[in-house]
Amino acid sequence: MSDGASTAATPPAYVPDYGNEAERLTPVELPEQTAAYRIVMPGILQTGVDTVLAMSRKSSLWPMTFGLACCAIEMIGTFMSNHDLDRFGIVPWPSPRQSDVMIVSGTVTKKMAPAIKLLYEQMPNPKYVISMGACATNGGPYTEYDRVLQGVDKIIPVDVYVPGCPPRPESLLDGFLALQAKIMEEKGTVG
Amino acid sequence: MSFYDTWSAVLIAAIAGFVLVFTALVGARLLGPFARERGKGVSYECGMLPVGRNWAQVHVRYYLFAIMFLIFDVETIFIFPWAVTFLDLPEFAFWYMFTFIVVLGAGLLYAWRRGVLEWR
Amino acid sequence: MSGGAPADEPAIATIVRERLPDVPFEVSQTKTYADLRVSPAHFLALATGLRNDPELAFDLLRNVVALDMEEEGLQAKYQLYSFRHGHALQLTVPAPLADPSIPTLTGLYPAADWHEREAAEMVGLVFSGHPDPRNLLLEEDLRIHPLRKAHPLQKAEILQGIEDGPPGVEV
Repeated sequence: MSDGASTAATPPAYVPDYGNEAERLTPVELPEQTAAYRIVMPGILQTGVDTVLAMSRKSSLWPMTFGLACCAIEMIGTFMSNHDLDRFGIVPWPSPRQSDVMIVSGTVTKKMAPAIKLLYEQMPNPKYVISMGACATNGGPYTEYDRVLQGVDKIIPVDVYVPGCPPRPESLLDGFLALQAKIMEEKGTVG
Repeated sequence: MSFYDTWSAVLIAAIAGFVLVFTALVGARLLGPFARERGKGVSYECGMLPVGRNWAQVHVRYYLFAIMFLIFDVETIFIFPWAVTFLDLPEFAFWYMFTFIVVLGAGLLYAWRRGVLEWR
Repeated sequence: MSGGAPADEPAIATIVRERLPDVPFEVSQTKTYADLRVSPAHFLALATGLRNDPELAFDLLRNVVALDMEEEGLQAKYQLYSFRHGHALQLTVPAPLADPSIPTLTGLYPAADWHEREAAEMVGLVFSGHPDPRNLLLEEDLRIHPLRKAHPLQKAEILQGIEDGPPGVEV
């Protein structure tokens, strides 16, 4: 099968066909969220309610544990008695329907991305996202690999990034405290 | 305690229950921000889209459980007032109830021999 | 001995040469396995012989690995083990890029079913005669081979420092 030239017959070029992947990986849409009391209550009372709401929300963050990979083990370790998260009011909750914060712990592959988007949408507002570990932050050790989403913030909005591979439980705890500070900071602007 | 003391306690408990639940629901409606996202109403199936109908069919063999429960539950309801006022009743009341229970026990024996109590 | 086998060949390769003299293969030794390199045309005959012969009796297909050797083509490596005799072997089957087709082993080893599906989707090998050639790990509508060297990489995501501004904003 020689052309007579120096090169042999070239094999067919490799053209990847990604199918419907582009629409599966579009970021989640974030419509406006408003609470009814903003319309009903006079402004002077709203600040008091805002403060109370922010304090109660930060004191009772129920994470939807979304353990994908190795970071899940550290997250479980943070929930356990040695680095107890329950003392902060943080109760792990497997269902998105009653949870406040989603801890994306582990590598987000492109196959998993539509599930993450759907679960994020199924959480009731106000909701927060903690991106735990290097993989969820920017792809981590799988940098440049095609099948790994380079950071979960490409599909859902992230509030706190916790670096580490995996982050120690104290780091995740610090992430939660940072989230609590953030909730208190933005109390007038949520909903 | 008099009649009014006991039943007013029940009234206060009922009102407190209603107020608590009502406050929680109304509070959630007022204070919670709501965003109309596309996926929010989808049934939860661990991030996957649900497959199949959301009505699960219960096998008709469960009707046996329903019937057996109904019969013996009604029997129990008849026994309760008898048991509460047992000591004030004349002696033959015991034998009346005994007969009642024996008759229903015969029904239980019949069901047992028919294999109703076995899971098929 | 047929084929002029060299003297420092691993023992299992010698036994295979004796029992299956009609199949040509080349022998080499890796750290853990004796490796037999056979062409796709003779591969099924060799695998059948390895499994059915009572002296060899390789009844366990431990692993199937698929490699992209760039210009040389694609390669599939099969690691076999024998419960009866306790010996192990590795088969290397090279397949050129122009025709990356290897006969399937699902008739001999049912375990090859999923291994070959994964090899097919990750590297692009085609296993002729496979009963269910769908994607195993990738999504159904993807026709890509991510473990090929030619598969494009994504842009590296550098997380900016505070002074660089939020992602997506040119500072």
